[in-house]
Amino acid sequence: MAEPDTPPRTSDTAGQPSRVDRQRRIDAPPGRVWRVFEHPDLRREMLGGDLDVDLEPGATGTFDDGATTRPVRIDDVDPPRRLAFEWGAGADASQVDIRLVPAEDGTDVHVTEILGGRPSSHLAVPSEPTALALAA
Amino acid sequence: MTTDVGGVLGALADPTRRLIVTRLSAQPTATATELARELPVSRQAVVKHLTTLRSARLVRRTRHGRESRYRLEPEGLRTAQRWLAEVEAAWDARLDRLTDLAEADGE
Repeated sequence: MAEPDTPPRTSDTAGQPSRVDRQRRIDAPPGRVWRVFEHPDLRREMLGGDLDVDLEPGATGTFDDGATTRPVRIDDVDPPRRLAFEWGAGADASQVDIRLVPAEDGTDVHVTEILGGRPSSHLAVPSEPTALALAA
Repeated sequence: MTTDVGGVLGALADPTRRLIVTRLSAQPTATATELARELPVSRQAVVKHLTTLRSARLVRRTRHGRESRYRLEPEGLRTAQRWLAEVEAAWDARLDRLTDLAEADGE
């Protein structure tokens, strides 16, 4: 079932402007949902691109959506509960956190993506893209 | 004129800069000194953050004599909002497909 649309975020634009939260109830147990992440073909279909990376914490790879390729680094893998990764580089890097919570008739999927660069230093890209842009 | 989405979101990723944007949204203009009085950081730090916000076109500086005043540039925030809406739509589409794939997989 689709969740109702997230209300307009006019008021919190300045508060949490670079965070996206989505939620969905799926009528399948967490193990079946997790299989989609593990199976390369299902994963590609779900993500709309090829996530070429081992599902191991610290593994690095790429995500290719047919138009662009971005670096990916796996942060956490906890089957069938949590998959967390970073993708993108520099100021366009973001952290994705997907959590599967067992629900009465299936699974609640929570997705959080935090945009606007990376607080950590996982990917081999300039660490302060904003500052570099300023200096240029 | 294009606004660099990554730069806007990067500028807004910092909590102090978000506070500055919040303060500026509550008043037409402010000086760095006024902002520093309202925030738990030094005037020097505020000036540095304002430079980043100006670079991302979230804030505009106007000079009144020797005084620099800063005001919010709404276009930058609109750019950030549009980008967030696109990211949300992309995840909604992925969750649609995840639902189909997980619910169809009866093996």
